[in-house]
Amino acid sequence: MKKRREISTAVQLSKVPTGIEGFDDITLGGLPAGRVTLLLGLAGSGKTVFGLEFLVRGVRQYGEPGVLISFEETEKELVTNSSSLGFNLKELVSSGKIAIDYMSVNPGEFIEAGRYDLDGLLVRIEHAVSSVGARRILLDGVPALFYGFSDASAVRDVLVRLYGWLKDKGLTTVVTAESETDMIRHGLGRSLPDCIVRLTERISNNFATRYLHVEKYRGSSHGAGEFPFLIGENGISLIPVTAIQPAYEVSSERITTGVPQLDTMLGGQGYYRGNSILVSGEAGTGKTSLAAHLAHASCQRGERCLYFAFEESEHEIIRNMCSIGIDFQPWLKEGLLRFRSSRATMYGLEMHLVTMEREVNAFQPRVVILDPVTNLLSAGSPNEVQVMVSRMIDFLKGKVITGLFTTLTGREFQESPGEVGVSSLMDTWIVLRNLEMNGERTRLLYIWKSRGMAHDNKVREFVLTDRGVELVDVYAGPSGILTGTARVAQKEKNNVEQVRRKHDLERQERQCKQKLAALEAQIAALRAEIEATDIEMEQTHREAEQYEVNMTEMSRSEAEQPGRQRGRQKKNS
Amino acid sequence: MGAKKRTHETWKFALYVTGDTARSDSAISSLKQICNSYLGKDYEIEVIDLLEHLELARQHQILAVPTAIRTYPLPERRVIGDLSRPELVVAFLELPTQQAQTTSRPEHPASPE
Repeated sequence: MKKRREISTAVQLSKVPTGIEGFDDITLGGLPAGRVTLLLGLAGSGKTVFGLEFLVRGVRQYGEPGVLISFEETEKELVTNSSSLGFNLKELVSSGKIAIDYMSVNPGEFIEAGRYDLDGLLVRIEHAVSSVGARRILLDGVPALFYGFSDASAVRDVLVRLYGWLKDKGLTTVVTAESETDMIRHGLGRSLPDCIVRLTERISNNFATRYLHVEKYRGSSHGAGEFPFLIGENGISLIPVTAIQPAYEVSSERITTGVPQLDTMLGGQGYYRGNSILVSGEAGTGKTSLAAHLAHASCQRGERCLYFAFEESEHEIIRNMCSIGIDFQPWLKEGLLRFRSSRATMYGLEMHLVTMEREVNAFQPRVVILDPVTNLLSAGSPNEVQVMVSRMIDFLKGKVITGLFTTLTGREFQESPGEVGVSSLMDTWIVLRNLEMNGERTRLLYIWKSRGMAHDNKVREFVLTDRGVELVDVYAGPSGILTGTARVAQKEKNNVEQVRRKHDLERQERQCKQKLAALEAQIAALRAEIEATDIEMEQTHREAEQYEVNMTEMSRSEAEQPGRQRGRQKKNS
Repeated sequence: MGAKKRTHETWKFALYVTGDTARSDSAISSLKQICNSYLGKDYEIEVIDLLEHLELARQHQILAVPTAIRTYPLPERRVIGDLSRPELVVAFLELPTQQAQTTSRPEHPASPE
């Protein structure tokens, strides 16, 4: 940030974009306009490719014709070699956009007899420049002059005059050399060029990786450090991780993971389209199965899916996925699914990346799977793989392609980011784990992170069935989580317990009912007793009344006719 | 310039220079002198000023000036410089060592190269 501010306030140094992917980012605009840039690098480091691309893109992208002065390769060789980089030099030469002049400096072709100068060089360059109206020029292999001519002062003299002339003409110049010593020894060292770029190649893990380093840039800041770069069929491609400005079109569209329960865990809707997803886990935890579900779901939607397999072959994956009920054959036939299997050790990381980008551009998939990226470690260091994955993520995001990357973790799951260290770059990280318990291995799945969505934090058991992946709630009891048979046993145990409890309850209910019934019976009996007593009481009451009545009648009749009473008594007896 | 054609065995030279400089002049006179002493009159020298024929520098792969090229007999032989060391020129251009044999065919002595 500080550097950018310096640039904007400093006297504007005008720059010429090279058009080389990534280079203009790290140099904040390209090469110094109208100045000399020294491009250093050993044979095969990519100097000529850089220079050629500078010229070709100058014509194609910026309308600036160029001149190529070669001291090493003939025009024919240059044309042939550049066609493999997608540069049609021949066409550019015949259309008058680029002039090529091969300067033969083979000391065996002549002898020196007396003093000379190299004005012929100037004459030829001037002629080439004016013939196409060049704005850019590449001087490839200038130090060859020092080996071709014994009079170094003549060479130095012509180069100083040449540089002066090029500056006067305002041509943006790239001069290549194998090492600075060639230049310094002849007084054309570091002070002459305004910009020095060094290309190196280092071998690690038996694979060569190219690096670019801007060593000097007079009057301008530039990306520090070495940037890995690739030479692919479209020329040089730098990987300036630090210079990339993430400015992707962000999609809020959601796509299914292919596993309904996993969709549920991811806020109910699955992944975001265009996101990058990391699935990490030990061997045999089901990473490929999860990836296959995504591929399958993508094809079901009619969207193309590109599957890069670094471990298994296409046929192995197809067969294995058949066993969990995923049939890829129809998708392959319809052209919705494409496998690209390659051994990680087949070529270096740069070639892997270039190849993948090319495949993606050709197939135009909506989903890309890399399974597993950790296999690429055999082609580069963890740091390089990380850079590559990060580059791949950027590439895919730029195209709103959903990317699923699997990584193989060690037996001991590391809670810190995965071994390749790519987890921080990912939007969603799904962790798969093996769990050994009670002599049985089960698989667990959980979501470590998922940006921009409410996700489930629970651990699920990951079950591979012949109908695909199923996620099952694990039994979380007092003795920890239970899975597999233990979970099933626990469930069984739970069932028995439930049945027993049910029986208990039923019995208790029955007992209560019986008791109630008994009580009710008692109540009924008591009621009956009450009733009986009532009736008795009524009867007694009635008898008592009758008695009263009789007694009253008797006493009345005795008072009126006592004889009669006697008489009647007699009569009665 | 200096063409004195007599037979089909006439030696031919092309001398490339840039402009009318002291070094050009010295190369021209030097070459003439050598030819006169070794070939008599059986030679032709064509002097080409590159500044007047820019495209010829590329066509004939000229970098250093002056450059003298023996264009006949073949193979082509090149000497660069102002030709201030005639002994080198004579040897490399394989001029006949027997002086001024105007009528004889040029011989090819085993000269050091």
